[in-house]
Amino acid sequence: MEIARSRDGIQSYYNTRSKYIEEFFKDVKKADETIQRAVVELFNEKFEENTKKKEEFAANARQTEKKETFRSIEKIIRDSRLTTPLAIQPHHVQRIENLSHNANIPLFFPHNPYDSFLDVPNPELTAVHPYAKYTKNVKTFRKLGYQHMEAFVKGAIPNEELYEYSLEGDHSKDRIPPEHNLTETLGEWVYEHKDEKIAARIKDVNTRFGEDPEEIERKTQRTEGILELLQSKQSAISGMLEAEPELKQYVIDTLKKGDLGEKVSDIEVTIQTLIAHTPKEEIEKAQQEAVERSKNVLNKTFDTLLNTTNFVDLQPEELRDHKIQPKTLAADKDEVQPDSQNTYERQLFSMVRLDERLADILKPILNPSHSKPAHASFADSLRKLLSSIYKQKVDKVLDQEQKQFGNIRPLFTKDGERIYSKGNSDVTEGQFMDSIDDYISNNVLFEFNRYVSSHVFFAFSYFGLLELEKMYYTLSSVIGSAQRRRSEEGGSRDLDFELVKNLLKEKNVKISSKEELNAFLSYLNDVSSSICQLFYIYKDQLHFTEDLLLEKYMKIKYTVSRYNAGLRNKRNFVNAVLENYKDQLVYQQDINQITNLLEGGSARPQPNEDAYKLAMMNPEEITDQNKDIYLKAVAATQAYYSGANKERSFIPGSFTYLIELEKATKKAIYGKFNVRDA
Amino acid sequence: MDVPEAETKIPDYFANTDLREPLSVWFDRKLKDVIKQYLEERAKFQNVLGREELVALDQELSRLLKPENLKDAVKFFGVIIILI
Repeated sequence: MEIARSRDGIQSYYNTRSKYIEEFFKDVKKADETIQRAVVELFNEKFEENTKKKEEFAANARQTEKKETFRSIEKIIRDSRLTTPLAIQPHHVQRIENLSHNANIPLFFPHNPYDSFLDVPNPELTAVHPYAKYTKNVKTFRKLGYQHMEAFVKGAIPNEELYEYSLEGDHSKDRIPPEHNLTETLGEWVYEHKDEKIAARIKDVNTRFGEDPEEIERKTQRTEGILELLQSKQSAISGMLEAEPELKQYVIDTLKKGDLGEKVSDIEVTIQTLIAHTPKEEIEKAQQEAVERSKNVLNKTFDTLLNTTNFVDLQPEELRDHKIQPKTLAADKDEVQPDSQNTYERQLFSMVRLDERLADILKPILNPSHSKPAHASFADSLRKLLSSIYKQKVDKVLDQEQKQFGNIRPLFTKDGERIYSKGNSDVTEGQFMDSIDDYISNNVLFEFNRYVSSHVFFAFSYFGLLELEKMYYTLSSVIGSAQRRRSEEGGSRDLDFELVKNLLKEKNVKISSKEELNAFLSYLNDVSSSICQLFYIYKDQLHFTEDLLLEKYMKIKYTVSRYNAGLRNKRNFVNAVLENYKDQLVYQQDINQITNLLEGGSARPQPNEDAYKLAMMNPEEITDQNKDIYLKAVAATQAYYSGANKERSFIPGSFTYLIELEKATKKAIYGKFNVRDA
Repeated sequence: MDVPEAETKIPDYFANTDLREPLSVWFDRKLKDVIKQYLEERAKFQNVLGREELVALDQELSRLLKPENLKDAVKFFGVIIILI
């Protein structure tokens, strides 16, 4: 230790070492070898160090690789075993790509017809920002360049000048909106006006028929209050009132006038005494008395109706023997098939066939089922009219679609093509897609058609009535001119059928025999009946603007024609037919009730209160207030009287004009229209 | 008997001047240290330099690794540390 620390020790140490170094490097060859060996050893050390590092890396990599592999296996198992399999094949991909734009189509329809079916914003219902029309055609350009960046950073350029807008397409000539950011402005505006839009929508529904919404609310509250009171008094009354909407209205009207409690008790007494405690024999007796009493009244007030009941008797003996009835003539043979080229007509037919009631009503138009040329041509014209109205509406709706979405959705299958199951080789999947297609063709199309149908059938009822009117005037003019010619020639009043036939031929109405003319007239009756039914079914279900306008127009026309009626004694045909049909409905209801009542049985139906009132009433008691009820009751009893005694179904009052025409025809052909007169 | 701390403490340079260590072992270690230093210097630059630059560096290295050039390096390697 001492030596090592001492200066001499260090000196000697250093000397010996330097001597060794000098001697070592004297032998150059040996020195070279030693250096070489040292370098190699160092290299090996470094090499081993590196391989060790690489081994460590490899071990880590193997661990992570294992982890990832197991994770992927786990995912495969979970996806394939624990959830629904999703095997995407090339044809799937292709189909999904084709249908991707339909991803957001809802497969349901709004309950409220005023809700838009197609999610197309109705400009009448929804408020629209005046700049909304620019959103599609606007193009933005950034005005700033590199040279402006310094000025922009310093705040010398305001935000308004960052972008430039230009309009294209339809709005290319319009002025550019002054807002600096159009989309933001619109977004805020829509958010702010959300409630206003909904309120406007509700208000629109209420005021659609020209009534003040507050007044409507007050009215409904009042009537509901009355009805509640009635129901609390006696449930039987409310049940009866529900069954008879007109009676309900009458009760409400009378209750409005006086004290509520007294009136309710009055009604109770009336019903109990008249309906519940009256024996059947007494009812019959009262009925017969009423019939006898009302005979005089009937002859005065229902002249036309009486004439119509007599009219069937006016048939000549040869016809009466054959017992030609409209129903047997219009019986089905084979269903008329739609034009296979016309897809609209095909869809219309399928729609009608799905609805039994509609098919029943439209039977004389879509399935006339007889080879008579006059029938066939008239039915054809009506059918073409119907399909053209349907086509126009569907095209309009689809056009709106196209403007909104830029394509036609496959919900309305093009040419009836089955889209989803097309090109599906897989058996199970093909069946599944088939079921989707079936769903669309059976439900979605039906729902869509139902949405459109209110327009189609209402418009058809109006234009169909116009067609009938045309036919009516054609026939009447033909017969009139035939009569005139006959009288000019100085012949008898009997009209030559050949002359009528030839005149009709000039007007493109081909009729070969008298029976055929008769059948044609009854066919026109059927058609007018079905068209009137359509009118009354869809009158209160309109939700397109054009239909509402049409209805208003018809109302105006009706009032105007009523003013003119006194002058020319010629009412508007359309309105007259509709009015008479409505009367006929009421009569038919009354007849059914009275006949059911007299037939009796265990299931005794709700009787008509008016009939009993008539039975209890003296003609002297008729005042202005109860006149309407009395007249209604008279009509009912008259209908029963005429129907029951003659063993014939009641001829509808709605066809007065056509029946008048038929009378005129008879008169023209046979020279008389009433056998009893002869 | 109190011995002053400076006399009993082993100095820092003791390991470098251990007289008991055989000369050949010492020399081998010394030589390796020098060569290792050169190689480490090369490793520092080998990722940075271009190919021609690296060739030039290796030429310089081979020159330094020749016995006549390595002699002084070995002689004075670590001496500076001691002196400082």
